Amino acid sequence: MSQSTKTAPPPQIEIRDLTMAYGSFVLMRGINARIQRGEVFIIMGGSGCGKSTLLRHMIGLKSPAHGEIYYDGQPFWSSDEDARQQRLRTFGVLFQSGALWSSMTLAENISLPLGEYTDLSPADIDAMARFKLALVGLKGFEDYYPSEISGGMCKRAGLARALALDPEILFFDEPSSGLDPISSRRLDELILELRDSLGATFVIVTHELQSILTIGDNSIFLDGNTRTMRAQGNPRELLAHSTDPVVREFLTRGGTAAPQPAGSPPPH
Amino acid sequence: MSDEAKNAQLTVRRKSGGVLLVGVGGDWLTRSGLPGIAPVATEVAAGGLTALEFDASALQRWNSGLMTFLLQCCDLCAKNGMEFRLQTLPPGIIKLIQLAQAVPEKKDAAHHAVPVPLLERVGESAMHLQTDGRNMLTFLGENVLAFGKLLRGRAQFRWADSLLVMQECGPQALGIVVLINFLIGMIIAFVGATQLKNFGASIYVADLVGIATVREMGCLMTGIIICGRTGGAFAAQLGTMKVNQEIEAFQTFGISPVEFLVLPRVLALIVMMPLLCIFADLISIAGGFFVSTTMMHISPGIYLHRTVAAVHLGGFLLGLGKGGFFGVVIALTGCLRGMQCGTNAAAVGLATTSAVVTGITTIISSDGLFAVLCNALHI
Repeated sequence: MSQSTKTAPPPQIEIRDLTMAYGSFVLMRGINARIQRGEVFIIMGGSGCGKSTLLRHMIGLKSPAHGEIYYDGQPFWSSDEDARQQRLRTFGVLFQSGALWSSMTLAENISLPLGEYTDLSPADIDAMARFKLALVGLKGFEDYYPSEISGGMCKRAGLARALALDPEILFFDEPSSGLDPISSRRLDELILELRDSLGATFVIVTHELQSILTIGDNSIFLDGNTRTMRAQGNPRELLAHSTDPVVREFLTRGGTAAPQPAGSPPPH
Repeated sequence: MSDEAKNAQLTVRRKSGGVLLVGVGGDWLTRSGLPGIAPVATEVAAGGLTALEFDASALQRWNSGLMTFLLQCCDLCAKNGMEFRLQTLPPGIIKLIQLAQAVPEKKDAAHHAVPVPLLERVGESAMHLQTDGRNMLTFLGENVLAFGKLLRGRAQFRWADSLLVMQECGPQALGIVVLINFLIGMIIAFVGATQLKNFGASIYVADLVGIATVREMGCLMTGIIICGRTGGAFAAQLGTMKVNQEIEAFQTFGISPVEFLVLPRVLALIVMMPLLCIFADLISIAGGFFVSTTMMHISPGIYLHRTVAAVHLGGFLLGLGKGGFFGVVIALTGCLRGMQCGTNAAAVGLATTSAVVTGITTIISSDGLFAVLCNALHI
């Protein structure tokens, strides 16, 4: 689709012919995707079509019924437990509601993985936790428990925890759900800043159209009705050029098939 | 037309050309009672109709009561191949009807409440029992592995967590354990003494209370109390963490939930249950002592002497050992049900219930097994 990646390096993440199933119920089949380093990759689609399930496959919470996911060319699911654990440590995951550990303070939430996987001294870990919280605008909230702060703050703290181990890939499950429009825009800006400063790759599940078009470099569109992926590519290009009525309907919020002012009229 | 609220009125009249004119008048409100579709249905059943028309000229206020009536009429028309003419209805109603019919009914979406035959249900339960048993064994195996890792100092385990749980399920549970066991001691003494009196052997009530308490009742009652109090709490805590995706967050960080969450709880109960049992034994004997000396007029000195003579160290240690075993059972069932919990609030309730039921059943049945074993081994 995009012409900019002619001489593409090997993809950081590659999904090959993935089939997702709950027991004998096939949720989605034939998913293929290549995600380059430093990209913001969007998994989009209607509610309940399996976006979050695809994310769960990518972060090792659910094994595929068929197919494989490769990270830096290495297979994930067919490798052994130790290799998978090693790989998981290069991930950061932000769950839908933050999923902070409710029995620990915000600082402890961030310190725990640091304490498990680094040889830093307690003082350094503490400083690190403060820094991560400051990054997401939660300076001074180190000793708060998750139940004492708002949902939006929980989400940001969740992001700070996802950043704890300086991950190479960050996975976000519906980062803007439950946030007001301004917070959700700030989160988008934060994602772009982090991408530019850390060089991390982002995989984001969302159906927030504004976010998709603002921050997405690459995307796949999952269709719950046909149980396949329907489109792949830069969301802005998809909006401008896709001829698939389902994709168009999604990207224009079910509006008319008229193209956006920036794009040219739909080809043919 | 008056301004007063009128009850819903329904008139049905045949017009020429096979048209049924349905007149709806008055207030069609859900709260004031509705006439129902029966008159229309009988007319339609009589046959010879091709279309259904409405006369809404006398209609005043309306809400969903009218809408459901109209949609039932619409279904009736569709079933009998009649035309459903809604043009004469007020525009708001027409819009709502169109909205309700905009998306066709998803045929396979409805849950079919097909009655499952008894044999099938029995079979399913049996199959479920098998998977449940396998899950329990898997969980037990994971815990053994985690314990092995702990012994080698490689487990993701924080002693601080374990100490916190110990405080929660030990000292904080002491009050209820003491109270219940004191009462149990009193009850055993009272029932025992009244019966033994018939044989002039009242003094042996001390033996009865001592042996029953130390070997059986102390650890059993403590197990049941802690199962309800702490086992249920474990299931609810872990279940809520599951709902909140906190367990998944551990997994994505490569932190084993079994090592990090279950192991501290199991260790806490292994340590705390025998300690609670000691208190339970002592206080239960005190309860028996209280009843015997005050109500049965047994001399305190003789009672104590008989108790010391009857209770052996072996029986005492057996009780403590069983207490520790029950602690493992309680912690494992509580944590297992919590980890198996679904992802909504109702599932947490089910997990808690299931944890307590499984725990108490296992405690009592294994206590029976212990009794048989001890008898065979002459302990």
